[in-house]
Amino acid sequence: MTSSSATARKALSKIACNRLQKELVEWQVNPPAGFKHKVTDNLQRWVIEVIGAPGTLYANDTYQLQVDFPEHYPMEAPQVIFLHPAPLHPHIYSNGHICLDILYDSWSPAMTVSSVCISILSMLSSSTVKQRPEDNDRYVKNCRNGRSPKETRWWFHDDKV
Amino acid sequence: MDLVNSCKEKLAYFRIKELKDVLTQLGLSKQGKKQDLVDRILNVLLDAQGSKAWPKRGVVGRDEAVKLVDDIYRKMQVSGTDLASKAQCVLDSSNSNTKLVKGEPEDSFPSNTKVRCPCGSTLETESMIKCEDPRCQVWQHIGCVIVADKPMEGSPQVPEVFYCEICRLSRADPFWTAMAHPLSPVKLATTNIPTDGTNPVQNIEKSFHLTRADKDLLNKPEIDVQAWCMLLHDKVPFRMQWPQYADLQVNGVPVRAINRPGSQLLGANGRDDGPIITPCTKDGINKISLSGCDARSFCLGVRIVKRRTLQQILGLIPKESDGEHFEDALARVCRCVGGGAPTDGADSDSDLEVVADSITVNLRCPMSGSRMKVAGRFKPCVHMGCFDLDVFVELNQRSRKWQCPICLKNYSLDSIIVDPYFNRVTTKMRHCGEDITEIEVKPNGSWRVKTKTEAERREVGELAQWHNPDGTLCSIPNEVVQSEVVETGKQVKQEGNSEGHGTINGLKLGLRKNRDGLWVVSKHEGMNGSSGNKRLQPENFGQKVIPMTSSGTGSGHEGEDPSVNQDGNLDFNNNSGGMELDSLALNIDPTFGFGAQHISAPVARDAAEIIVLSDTDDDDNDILVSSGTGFNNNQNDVGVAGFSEAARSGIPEPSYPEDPNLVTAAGTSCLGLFNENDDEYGGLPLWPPSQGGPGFQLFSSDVSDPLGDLQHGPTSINGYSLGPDTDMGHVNLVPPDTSVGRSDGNDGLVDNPLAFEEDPSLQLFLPTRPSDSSMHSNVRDHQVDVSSNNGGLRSEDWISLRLGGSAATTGGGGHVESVPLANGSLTSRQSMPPNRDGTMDSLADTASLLLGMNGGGRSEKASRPRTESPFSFPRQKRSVRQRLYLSIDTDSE
Repeated sequence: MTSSSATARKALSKIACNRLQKELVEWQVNPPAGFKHKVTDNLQRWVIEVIGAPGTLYANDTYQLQVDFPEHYPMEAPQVIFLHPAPLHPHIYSNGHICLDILYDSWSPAMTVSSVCISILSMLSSSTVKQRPEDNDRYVKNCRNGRSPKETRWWFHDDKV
Repeated sequence: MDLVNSCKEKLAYFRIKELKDVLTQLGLSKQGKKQDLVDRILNVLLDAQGSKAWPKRGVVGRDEAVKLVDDIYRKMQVSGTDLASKAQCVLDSSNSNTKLVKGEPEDSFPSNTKVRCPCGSTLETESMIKCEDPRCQVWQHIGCVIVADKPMEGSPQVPEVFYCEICRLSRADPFWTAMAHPLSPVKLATTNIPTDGTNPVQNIEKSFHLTRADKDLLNKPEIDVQAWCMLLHDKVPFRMQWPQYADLQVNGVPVRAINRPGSQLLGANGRDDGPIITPCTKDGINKISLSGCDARSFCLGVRIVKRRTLQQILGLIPKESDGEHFEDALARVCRCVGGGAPTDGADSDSDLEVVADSITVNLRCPMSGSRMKVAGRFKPCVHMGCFDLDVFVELNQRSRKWQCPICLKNYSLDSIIVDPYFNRVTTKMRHCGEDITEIEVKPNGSWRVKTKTEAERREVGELAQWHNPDGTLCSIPNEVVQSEVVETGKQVKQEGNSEGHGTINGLKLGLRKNRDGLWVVSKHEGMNGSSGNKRLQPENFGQKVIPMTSSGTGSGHEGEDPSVNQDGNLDFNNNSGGMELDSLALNIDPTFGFGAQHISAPVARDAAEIIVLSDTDDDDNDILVSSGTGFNNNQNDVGVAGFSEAARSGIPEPSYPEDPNLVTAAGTSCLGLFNENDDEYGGLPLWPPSQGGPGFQLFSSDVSDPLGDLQHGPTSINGYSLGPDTDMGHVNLVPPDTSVGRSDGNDGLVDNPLAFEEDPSLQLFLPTRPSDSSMHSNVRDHQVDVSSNNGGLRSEDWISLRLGGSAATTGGGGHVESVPLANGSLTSRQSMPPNRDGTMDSLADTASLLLGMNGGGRSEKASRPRTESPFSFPRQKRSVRQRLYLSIDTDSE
């Protein structure tokens, strides 16, 4: 499964479509604090602006999250990456990939874009140092061909940040 | 020869399939006509008797053949009624048969074991494990099927519940049902173990036979041949999994087994599938080979499968009545809603009582986001969260996960049931609009639909009233009319027994329970012009009634109770009371709620005294309005303001600036109050950082939809609630019985406000016209001296509402006027108007703390411009003596 297969994704299933529309409405009514959804007509790819929480290392920083939904969302996790430039964070690679279990193994269909966003912001906020993961270079090199982070076998070892 | 004869009779009932099974077990050829097969089996019995003509099979001889025949025969008996009736005749004709069939002890493990192991051997060994499936119960070698992922790791623990591969397979994807297994599971063999630590290459090459009958079957579109592979001892038991770099070939034709990259391992959330190999197969002998590069142990098989439709799968799920007893479901809901029984709290939290009268449950399916139509669940789950059965099954048709979306545990279709409790609710709600997704549930399991607007309430009709768990309407002895039409003079029956949960002091704010467990607001006799009997929903009331002391601000009366002000007493005395930190934290906007006009300080008092916030503005009619709104707000906002005596010390006088601008004063003073106390709190996280989540927005001044936010944020709020356990006892502000406050904080704050807001019954408490003087007749008469009532109040679940909380209990000296809880809301409201009349005079100064809640928002009163409400702030220019103005603004436009 290459990058092309990841981008040339199949259209959303009907259930996925309905569900995403509901999430979007919910988001508009009640957006998570610190996030802005950039309006597009593409239901399958959301771009969300993240503002670092006050009082954290990332205060006032602005980043962009790209959320791509698979055909069978919510049974499958969305692919969530930071667009360039990705925040400096021990669990965020320079190519924007995020090492966060709920995006992969611990995804649950009961989660929503909103809850994922809050988790990511929480991950950012709990960071004590602005730095890349130790294996950043190696990993990014591995993903050079545009591999999706969902193809990575992540090792979730750090529950502190 | 008896044995042979009896076997003969049994064999007469065997179909080809059973005969083949026996022959397979015996290792004999399965070719030939049916009679050939029977003869072949009988030969075994006869031969084994005479000569030991079975060198190869050794002990596998007559005895085993007899057992096999018996086993299979018995299974047929169980499965087919037709056969059973026939069999009965047979049995009757032969005593020995009867004995053989029925007399076999269940526990004779070695003798009647059916062994089928992916290793291929049917030998019994010391360590065997049995498949849990009652229809299977096959025995396998522990050493073959319980294997570690990595060879070095030693032998893993034997699971308590074990399923063989075939049974795991059938659960992995119930949309395929197996018709036959041309190739029984076989284990992949590792050819060489590399020394460099890389994964060894595994491969296997097998042949399987498709008969002509099989081929005929395969002509049907819904029937196919499927190759499958499973990881032995997979931590996710019910899924297929292929080895890394799997290379599958059928009759030399490569078949793609997986569509993930060969190097990628299957995550916990992943599910492989079994490719359909029908096009590659032919009649007779087929060859299949699989190789992979993986250190773990896999087994491969080929089966003939029939596709099931969604409807068929749904048909497999037990009917609502069969899946679970309603009582069990109800018990689960009660447990989840009400928490543990007070008695079983041996832990340190035992003194904390959950006081919420109800919680809000969202009936949205987590998968679809729509309200559930049929509420399904996995039976073993302990939570009460459900999903929409149809949506869930449909989604799993492809995803094959069968994982509870709420707790993420892996199950199979077998475990799915219809939740009898919630399905009744969703069934009753099926005509409701899409947007109505929430219900409120009481710890006793009664429920009602939660509505946010008048239109919604009209739409849901009687569903907005409380229903018993069984779906019938709660009968209410004293029927309360939820309309604004009031019958005056009608007395609400007060039944003093406070039964049930949470009869903690003061927890039952303002309401009494009648014998049905419904909270009743009793009408005070003295109240004139009060709207008729209102029955308040207990939840609403208990949670929404917020006692607030208001400082009587009667102009010119200031100073009547100088002692209070000067002492810096907040007017709220508690004898034993304290503030509830939880609710406090909730009420306060973590970031700077104080700056805003909204400040509420929850009070939990042992004495159950609650201070009612009265309107301070005596200058104009607005007072009345404000009082109404104020009160209304209270309920909406659920702000409890209370300060323990101890708290007083913590509050510096300066914190009550004489600020004409009440609002600002409020903000500052509140801030001051809390800030000052910070030290005492020792850094307790009263106000959690901004993470607070939407729930906190409630308290910000201009939150557009605070209530809505709250509802979404109950968890966050809970999370932020101060651990009651934190030893706040040393903090002045903290009352011993945090539990009371806490409950308020948790549920009252979060869930109820909204519902209450819309509740017409509340409106009754609000003065329709600001100048409704009739209501104000004699406030004082209605007031009960708190100090005398303390004990009584508590025991009877009264809530005392005090105006001008000069803290009679603390020796405030008679200025305290407490109203019985039941009457509380009504009385308080009425008492407020008096301000205007000057009856409040005495009160006016006593209350140095002014708590104002302004709930403009959706309540009907909202129609009134918000600014008119004195509580809405600053615009009032009055010289008030030192007072603390706490207000919560729930204006939700």
